[in-house]
Order: sequence, then C-alpha cells, then structure tokens
Amino acid sequence: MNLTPISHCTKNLSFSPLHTPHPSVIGYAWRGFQISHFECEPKLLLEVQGPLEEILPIVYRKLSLPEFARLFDALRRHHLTFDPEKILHAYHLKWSQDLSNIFDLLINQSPEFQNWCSEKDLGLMELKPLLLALHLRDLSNWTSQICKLNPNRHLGSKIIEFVFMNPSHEVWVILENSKTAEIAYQQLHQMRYPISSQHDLKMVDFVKAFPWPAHVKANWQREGDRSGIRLEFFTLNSEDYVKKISQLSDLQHKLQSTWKKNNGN
Amino acid sequence: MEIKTFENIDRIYIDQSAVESSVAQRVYALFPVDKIEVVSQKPLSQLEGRMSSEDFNKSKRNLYITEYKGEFFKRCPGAKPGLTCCNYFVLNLGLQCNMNCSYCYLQSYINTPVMTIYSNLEKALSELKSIANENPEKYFRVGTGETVDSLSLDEITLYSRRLIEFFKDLPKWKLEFKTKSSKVDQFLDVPHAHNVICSWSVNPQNVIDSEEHNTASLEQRLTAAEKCLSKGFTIAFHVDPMIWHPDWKLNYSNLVQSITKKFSPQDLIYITVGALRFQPEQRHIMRERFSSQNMVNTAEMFQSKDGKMRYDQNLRTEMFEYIQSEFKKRNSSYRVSLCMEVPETWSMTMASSPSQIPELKDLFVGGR
Repeated sequence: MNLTPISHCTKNLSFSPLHTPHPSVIGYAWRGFQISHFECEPKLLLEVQGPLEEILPIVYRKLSLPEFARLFDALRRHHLTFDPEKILHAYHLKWSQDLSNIFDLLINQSPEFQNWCSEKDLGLMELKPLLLALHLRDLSNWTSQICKLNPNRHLGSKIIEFVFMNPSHEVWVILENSKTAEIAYQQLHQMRYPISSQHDLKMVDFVKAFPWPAHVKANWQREGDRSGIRLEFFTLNSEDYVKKISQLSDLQHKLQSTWKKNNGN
Repeated sequence: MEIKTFENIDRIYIDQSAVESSVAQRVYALFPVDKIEVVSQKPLSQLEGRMSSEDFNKSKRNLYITEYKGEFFKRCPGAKPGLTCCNYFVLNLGLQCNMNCSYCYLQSYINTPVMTIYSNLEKALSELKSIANENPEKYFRVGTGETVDSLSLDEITLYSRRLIEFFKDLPKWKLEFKTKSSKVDQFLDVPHAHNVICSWSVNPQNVIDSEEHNTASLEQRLTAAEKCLSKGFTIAFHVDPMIWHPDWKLNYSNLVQSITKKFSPQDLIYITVGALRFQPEQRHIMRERFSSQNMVNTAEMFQSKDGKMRYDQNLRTEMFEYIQSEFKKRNSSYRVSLCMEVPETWSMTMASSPSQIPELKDLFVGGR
C-alpha cells in the first residue's frame, strides 16, 4: 500500500455514502479511483490493491441497501466490471433477483427517501412491498411522502407495506394529510384491517362504558390473533381479594349478555 | 380450470441415477423427446436460495426426476407442541405442485427452481416395510399430500397404483391421498384392502376461482370422490383452508349442501376443517404472485402464538362452529374435526380435544 496524491486519481467513485469520514482519517484510492472521502478533498490517499470485494469492507465497515444501490450504479457508470454477489457476500448479504430489483428501484427514489432507508437500516423484507409498485409512474412521490413523515423503522416498514399493497387515492390522502407517522399508520391500519379495527374500536367503547367496580382497571386489548379484556386490580390481603373478586363475580351475567351483544358472537 | 398435466410442463430433467426408474421410462413414453434432458447435476441450481416470484412461477413448469437421498418417512408438521393435530405420517414423493393456490405454504418453503418427483418409490416402500416389521402391533396412517399434491401429477408417476398395491398387504394401516385434483381414473381398477382414504380439500367454487388456480372445480372434485366411493375407497374431505369473504356463510353453506347431497355420514370417514394460515414472510411472495386485492392478500390476519398468521381467534371459532353446525343440522352423524389448530380453538369450538371425542378418537391415536 502506497500513499498517492489525489491528483493521481483521475476518477471519483462517489456514491454518496451516508457517513462522511473524519478528515483526519486517511482516504483511499483504488485503480486510479478515489473511493472514499469524497467530500473532504484530501491531498493524499492510501492506494489499496486487490479485488473490490476485499477492499470495500476495509474502507466501509457497513453499507445500507441504498448505498449499495448507488455504489453499483457508480461502478456501472464507470464501466467497471464487478461481481455484486461477491461484494454483497463480503457484507454477509445474499444476492437475489428481488434484491437486485430493489437496488434498481432505490436508485430512482429521492435522496431523502434513500437516506431515510439508510438511517433506519431497512432490509430487503421491509422494502419488498415496493416491488409491488413498479407500475407506479409517480412512485418517487409516494416514497418521498413517506419519508416526510419520518417514521421509525417499525412504523416505516408497516407504512410501506400498507401503502404499496394498495396505493389508492384514499391511501395517498392519508399520507398527505397525516401530521405524524403514528396518525398515518393508525389510519392505514384501519383501512387494511377494517373489520377487526371497527370491532376493536366498538369493544374499546364497550369496555369503557361497562360499570366495572372502582378498583378494577379494564382495557380492551389485542394480542396477536386474540383480543379480549385485560383486567387489573391491586389487592391488599386475602380478605380484600375475596371481596374484590366477589364484586367482579356479581357482574358476570351483565358482562356475559352485553359482551355477547357487542362482540357479535 | 384444472391444469392439463402434459401440456403445462416445458422441460423435464432426469437425473442420471433415475434414468432406469419406472417414472423416467413413463416420461419417455408420454413426452416428446426434445423436452427431456438427462442431467448429472440438479438443473438451474444457480437460482437456488435466491428465487424471485417469477422464478417460483417457472419452477412449476420444470419437472425434475431424481432419487430422494434422505428418509422418506416423516411425521406430520401438525404434530408438534402447541398444535393439536391428527396422528399422521407424511411420505414425501416429490416437492412442488403443478397447481397454483394463492395461499400455498410451499411458497415460503420451496426455494428450488424445479418441480421434483422422487424416482425411488421402492426405497420409500422398503422403509415402510421395515417400520411395519419393527412395529407389528401398530397401525400407521400415511399421507402423501404434504409437499406435493397426492394425485395432480399421478398421471405421470402412477405412484397411486403402486402404493395401493403395497398397502393391500398392510390392511391395518391407512394410506391417505390428499388432493385438489380430479385425477383418479388411473387407479380405480387397482384391488385394495379398503384402507385407502381418498381425500379432497374443498372450498366453495367462488373461493376456488379466486384462490385455487389450476385446480379441479368443486364439482369435478366431488365427482372424483363419487367415483372412488363407488370402487370401495374411503372418502374424506378437508374444508381447508376456510377463507373469509363477505358472503362466506352463504357460500360455505352451499359447499356443505353440495357435499351432503352426494355423501352420507357413512360415506365419509371424517371431515376436517381449518382456516387460512401462513408464515408471516410468505405474505410478500403471495402479493407478488397474485392480486394484492384477492381474498388471501386482503385477509385480516394476525400473528398467532405459533408464529403463523391467522384470522382473529373469535372469527376462526365462529367459522368452525358454522361449518360444524351446517353439517350437523343436515345430519348429526357427520364427523367434523379441526386441523392445524391451537388448543384454545379446539376447546372453544369442539368443547374437548380431538382424542376425547369418541368419533374422532381412532384418528388421533397412533397405535392401538
């Protein structure tokens, strides 16, 4: 490995990596290309040799999917032959046609969306619903609208899934009018799960309106494929326990009839 | 419309080790020679583990005939902690299916670009023979419809004939074919020991049209079942997977009507009921391969305790109770049980576990 002046690097492989290295850290050159420190303009670069799949992990410990998409795009633009499979393998990722399609799709999205995907470290599974939207001419408008809401990874992946399953006008209106990602998610969830959402809302009201004893905190809850009432109370001793259970038991018939009526089964 | 077996296969690869097998010989007799290629390695293996939905579609049109190297005899996946299921053993005679159900679990399971038929049926039968010899006091139920439909490729393999013959010598064992096809003519003349259950997964015709592509119509399935019944085969139905849709009650009631019109309780050894379920990761490929607005892709599914996506438990219970009541109101002797369900649903729907229900007890006890 030799130090080489930047003036010897006639080309620049800038793929806008998300994290700019500290200027004090040495930059890298490879086969006449500047391959790091694109923003810093260092005077000297460390010239590294070897296949790209061995060099890249030394220079970049981690790359997100949009960064890979931009890197592969830059390599193609410079007509460099490379093996995406080997590069991905060096980062413990497996090449697949789906992943390749996601790269092609990401490269055409706004930098904001790409950066949001990078920051949230979205993987293939989270981005896969985008493949359903290949026919959308204005796909980048949709993805930009999603990243404007700046959802966290969990909400973001759910929103992506709900949106691209059915990118209808109603869905667009939700994205456009929601002030927060949480609000957008809730409305999209209600649209995706209309029957259960309606039922759960009805049951929330039912549980709220039910005359529970004062010591009981009752909530309608969904736990996966089950939904029901969670009851909580604090008890001081066995006598207190018996008294409170008895108060609950007194409500049994009322609960049975009204629950059945509200539950619809 | 039910798939035409011989017209929908583009290429047939025969592994060198399988060239002399009966199934390979039959392929040579049935297909034009330019469709057939003898290979020394698994074909299209570069796609393995990285298949797109398009590759999955293509895999249904590439047939690969090879020997199975592992053990054929496997326990039913329903029989594991957390699930209540019939005592059942699985004999896998292939992998992948030429039919195309939107909810098929093979989509989350198969990652090979070919539809495989194992050529060494005799090895499977010899394994079964050893098990029979080692367990002379036990009866086993053996099903072949787990990783491949039992009969949809049977016109090519004729494995049904060999299996029926083999089970004739094990009269206390039961062999179960599980299918959505109507292809039964190829084995109806084979003498049997009245221990062969021909079973059909059934759904209302509107569900078949929407979700069970390239399968036989409901009418074709029921007609095939009638043919088998007339030849003394035992018949069973799996109302599985039940798929919720706005008119589900009416359509499932009509389904029960169609079954009960043709089959009395005495004609049917059992009827099992199950609801739509799939692995969470399967939802992506289902959306890519089928309309994202079909019944399965728009279903309101939640993750169950066993990790699978299922309908809300209350809805499942309602669906199971409904099917059960539809059969029972026509004749209380119909034997209806649940399949691949969690114990809570069993207790909510059936009032007891399967092994406690007298008419089902025999099915759920491995050895007597």
